[in-house]
Amino acid sequence: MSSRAAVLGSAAILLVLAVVAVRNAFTYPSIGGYDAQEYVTYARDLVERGALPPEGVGAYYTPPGYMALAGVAGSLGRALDLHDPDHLGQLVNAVAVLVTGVIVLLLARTLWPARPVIWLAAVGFFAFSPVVLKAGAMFHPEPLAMLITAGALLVLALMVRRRAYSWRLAVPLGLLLGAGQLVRAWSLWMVAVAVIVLCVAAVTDRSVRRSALVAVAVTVAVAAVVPAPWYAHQASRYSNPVFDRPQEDEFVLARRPLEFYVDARFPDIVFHPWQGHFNDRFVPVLYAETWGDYFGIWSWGPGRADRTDAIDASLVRQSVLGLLPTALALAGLVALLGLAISRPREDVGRLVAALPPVAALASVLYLAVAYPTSDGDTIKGTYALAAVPALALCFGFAVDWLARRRFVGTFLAVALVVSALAMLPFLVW
Amino acid sequence: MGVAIVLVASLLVAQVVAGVVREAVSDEASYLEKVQICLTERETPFEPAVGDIIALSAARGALRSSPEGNEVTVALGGSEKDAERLYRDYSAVAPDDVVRTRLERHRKVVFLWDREPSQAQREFMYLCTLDAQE
Repeated sequence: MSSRAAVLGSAAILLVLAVVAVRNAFTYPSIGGYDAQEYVTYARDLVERGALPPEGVGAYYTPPGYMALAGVAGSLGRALDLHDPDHLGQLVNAVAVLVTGVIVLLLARTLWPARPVIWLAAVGFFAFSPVVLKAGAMFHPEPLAMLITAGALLVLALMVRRRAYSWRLAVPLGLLLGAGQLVRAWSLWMVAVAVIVLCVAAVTDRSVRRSALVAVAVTVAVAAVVPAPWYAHQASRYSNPVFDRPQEDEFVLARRPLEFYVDARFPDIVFHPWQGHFNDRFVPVLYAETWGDYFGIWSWGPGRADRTDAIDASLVRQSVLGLLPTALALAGLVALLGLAISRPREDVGRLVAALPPVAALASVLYLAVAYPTSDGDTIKGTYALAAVPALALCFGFAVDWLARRRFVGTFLAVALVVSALAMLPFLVW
Repeated sequence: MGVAIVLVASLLVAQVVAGVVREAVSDEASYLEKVQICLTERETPFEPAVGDIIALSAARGALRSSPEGNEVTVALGGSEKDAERLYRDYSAVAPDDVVRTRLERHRKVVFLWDREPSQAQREFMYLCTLDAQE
């Protein structure tokens, strides 16, 4: 595949993404998403009264970054006398999703400039991920956090590829990492990813050691200063400035049985991917929520339609269609991680793609274990949304390797295009 | 990359094998048994639906129960289409007022009450057949 074909193909996919994401922003109910009523109230109060949520009320633990933008957008919507002014808050997310899609393309080009198949496959994976389109339609801070994290990854990738660890890139990296924490506390894992990548670069490449270590210091300092007022505000009111919720006294790993961590609940994960079938299992809830609608927030549920055989069939179809891309993304992730560990000097850039999914998964797992609920409510695909761009790179890496055999490449191309087209009706709300 | 693909494929195969084995050895209650368990736990009598050829044709089975003394035939369809068929068959042989006031369908479950049910009776049977409705 030529570079030109990959760019044109990616542009076509991003065009479809733009149309679907913008349409969803105006058709999906503004109070339809996770905790949407709390976020809408938060955004409105923040912009109109300059007030954060009262102590312990609503989404008080969520930083105000997205709320400020969405609140201003909502005010604009009211000034324009829109039927539902908060749709403009959702439009912020549609734009965030689209720009992240462009960054995925830039990331793939930066990390693998001679592998156009990776560019196209990564953009395709990102654009047709249900968790991206679902979150992108909601009034929710996660898509903006994903955009900022993707921006930080791009800066990190540029540093690694150019072997340029000057303050000119370290400061923007720190600013992005700090801004991420002002949108969603979960994005803290990205700070750890950046520090690890820069430290590995310092350890494995003597010629850039000093500048890479200085870049670590500058990045961490800026990333700490930017969200400091928010953390200071939270620390002055709550016991934990990041997430102030009571935990059980039990040792964290003992709070869930072994099956919670390892059991994917086949065949229910494919044939009954909706709430009630595996509430106490991590893998199937995360999978079903990522590729379908486990919690009834998109195609069924309160305020929407009751489940019917047709809706069940569409959820089963989503679960089946998600198997191949999930397997390829995991294979790419394992391969990149394996290569990064076994041959650390060869290419530090591999860590830019491999570390975010691992860190995000660890973060979601910790949340699910530390704050267990009987219905699996703390296991949501959206909590790992910021890692989807990096996971898309892992997917692209695997597809590129397999596509080197012409027959396999043709088969994969057909299977993935058919999958994407089959998913499209589910992605459009 | 080859090793990674083998590793991921092995994980998937292991999950499938584990699931198939679990399905084979588990003695999970059928949909009809789940309804019976719910009725038993709430001390509500039930018996087989004898002589009702429409109810007996339901893919997941049928029973008779009497919440608060009001007898009801519960037919568990295997799909929404099956439940629609059961509803249609009852509608074809029952008087209009029975269809209007005593015949109900909730997704895959059809109820035919002997007397018009109270709200409490309706809710009781609805909740006891939740699993069977999907």
